[in-house]
Amino acid sequence: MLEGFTTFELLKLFAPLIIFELIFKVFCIVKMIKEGVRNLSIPIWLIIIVLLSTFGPISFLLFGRRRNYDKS
Amino acid sequence: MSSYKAYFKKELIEGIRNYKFLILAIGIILFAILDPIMLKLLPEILKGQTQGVDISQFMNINHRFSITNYMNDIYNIANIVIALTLMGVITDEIKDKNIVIPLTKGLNLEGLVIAKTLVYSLIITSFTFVGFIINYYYSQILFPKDLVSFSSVMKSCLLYSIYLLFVISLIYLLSSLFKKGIIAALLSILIIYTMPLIMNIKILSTYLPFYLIKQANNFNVIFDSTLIISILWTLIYIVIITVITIERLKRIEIN
Repeated sequence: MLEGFTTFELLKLFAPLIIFELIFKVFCIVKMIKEGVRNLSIPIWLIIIVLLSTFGPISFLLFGRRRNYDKS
Repeated sequence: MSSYKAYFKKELIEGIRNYKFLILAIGIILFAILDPIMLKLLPEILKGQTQGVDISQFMNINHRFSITNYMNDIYNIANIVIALTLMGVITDEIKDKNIVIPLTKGLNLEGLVIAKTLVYSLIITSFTFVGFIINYYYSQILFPKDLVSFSSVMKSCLLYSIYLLFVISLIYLLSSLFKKGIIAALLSILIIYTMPLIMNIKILSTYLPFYLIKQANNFNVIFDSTLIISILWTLIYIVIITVITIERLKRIEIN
């Protein structure tokens, strides 16, 4: 598969996306550890963030992030 | 005017604090980069999947196809992201009792709804234009054949932006009607995806906001009387929906 492309060419193509994805996932994991979660437990959110590309971190920010007023 | 400015600033701060702008940016702009790359790799992927038969030969992937693919993703995925991000904009205000603070200070609801609509309209329109420009640039690099002119892509982008303004106002209305944000989001998604079906009724087609999407996908956008009527109708819908949202909020018993 993908014989027409060298590994370097593929890396160059996907570089912006790979970098973005990594930063986004790390950002969400840090947020999760620092602020806590809601709706699901930390291990489940961790699996969702790590395994689901882009939509995992987005769903965490939408449904899993603990907001300031949830803490009280 | 000062209260309106305060609402505007509040919405901006809240959008940043709740990462709503970040989610919207990702939902709209990510596919601008991802789509052309995936399309470039698609023939190679298909070669690997179907041994002996090269399906990619039947596909004519060019600049136009790449941009159309992004437009479809904006309609199919960005709409869901927008609905899920904005679902709680009004319900959360009522639920968290934040709406009481400006109201008890004698400020009006009109300003609140207009500020909310304006902030997210500006943000989403900006992201849409940025997304289209990025997609145009990436598609041009990866598919240099059969180039579509930049102006026609921008015209299509303008139509998409007007359509998304309608989507925002629709989500706000539904968000003011239901106590749970997720119901508002699901219902707005349902309405958005039902619209293409109603388009089959020819008499109604030009009066529906989805007509703008249909025209935008043609790339050859000519602002003729039919399209202008469709744009005007969409703007009228936005105004009507916003007025209903304000009236609805006025009637809600905030306790």
